[in-house]
This record gives sequence, C-alpha cells and structure tokens, in this order.
Amino acid sequence: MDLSIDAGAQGVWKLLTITGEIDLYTAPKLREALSGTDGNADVAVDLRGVRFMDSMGLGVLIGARRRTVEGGGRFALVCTEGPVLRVLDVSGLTTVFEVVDAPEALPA
Amino acid sequence: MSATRVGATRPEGARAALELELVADPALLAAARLFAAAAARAAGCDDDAVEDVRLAVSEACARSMRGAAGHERVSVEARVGSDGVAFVVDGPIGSSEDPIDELDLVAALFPSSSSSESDGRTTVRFAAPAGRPPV
Repeated sequence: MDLSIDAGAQGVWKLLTITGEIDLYTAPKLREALSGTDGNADVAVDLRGVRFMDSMGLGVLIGARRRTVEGGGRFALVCTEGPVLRVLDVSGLTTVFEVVDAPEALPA
Repeated sequence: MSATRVGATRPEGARAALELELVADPALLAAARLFAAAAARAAGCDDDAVEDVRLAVSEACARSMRGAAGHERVSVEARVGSDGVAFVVDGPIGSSEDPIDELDLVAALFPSSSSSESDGRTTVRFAAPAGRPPV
C-alpha cells in the first residue's frame, strides 16, 4: 500500500498533494508531513489522488486544521466526488472543513 | 505461520461463505479492503455500496488492530447471497484514539449494524443489499 506526499505551493497557500490510501498504516506519514506546516501558514491538502481514507485520516486532518487555525492560518481541502467526500459526509464533517475542487479555487 | 488465510465454503443454503484471516498488522488493511470489495461485487452491490463496504470493513479491522499484539488474529467473514452480502468482523477489543470512532462510522454507513464484546474480542456485523446503496 502506498502513500505519496508532494509539497508545493499555490499562491500564498502551502499545498500538500496526497496520492494513495490513508488508513491506520499510512496515516502517520501524513501526520508527519502536516506537522511540518505548523505556524501561521495557510495550508491546503489536495486529496484528489486519494483512493481511500478512513477515520484515522480524518483524525489527522482534524488535528492539522486545529493547529493551523490556532496559529492564525487557514486550512483547506482540495477534493472532488469520491471516497474522501464520502467519509467527510458520513462523519458529518463536510461543513467543518473548507473544501474546494481545485487548487486554483483556493481563496487569495 | 502465514500472515493471511483465505477460505471459501458453501454450507447448506444458497449463501457462499468467504473468510479472510489476518494477523493484527495494519499493513494488511488493504488486503481486507480488497477482500471486502470482491465479496460485495460478487453479491451484486453497486459501486457506492462497494465503497461503503470497503470503508466499514477497514474501520472494523483497524479498530481491532489498534494496540493488538502482532500474533493476534482478525477475521472477516462474508456471506454472499442473491440479496446482498453480510459481513462479520471479529478481532481483539481495540480502542479509538481519534475524534471519529471507527464503530460510529460503521454505524453511520450501515444503521442496522451491530457490535458486541465478549471474551476479549469485538464482533461487528453489518449487511449491504444487492443493487442499491445501503444508506
């Protein structure tokens, strides 16, 4: 099972692009990548390449969002129809995260 | 000792019983999801239901694997019939450390699901109907 994480930027946003599956086994890799984004930066996580995500992945994203917002930054997810939106919907977290369908749609 | 075991039987009646047994290693969660998806497709579940089954089986297995010793076993049984597929996931009692409880997520996906604890093990049961999404 693979999980790849590429770090880049989209305007003022620090952009992490994730590909693969996020679960109990791979989520620590995502947590480590997001822990390096603490501070007042704006952070976006592009999940369009994620084929599966479970509650462990959600927990990592919730923690990263909390740290980012507490540090004065913004936190957003980039995803379209698929397994990520499904798990957000089922867990009732759709409105907790700012979600856009492409990096170019992130607010300035 | 192998890390996984797959079996298939067809006892009396029309349902085919498939079983996957895993050691409690999170690296094997992807194998559990493949097994669950194959069983759901064999039962005629649509794509949305297959995705929900993958998620529910993975959550139930992950719950049991949290904190389990590596030699402990987690089993996934699928009974495939013309009306859908019924799953039983059995493994060590785990604990949830995340804001989202794994078993709450299974219940949200399959409201008729149930879970019970006995003799140090958790058993999670749920069923997905053929031909339409469960929720």
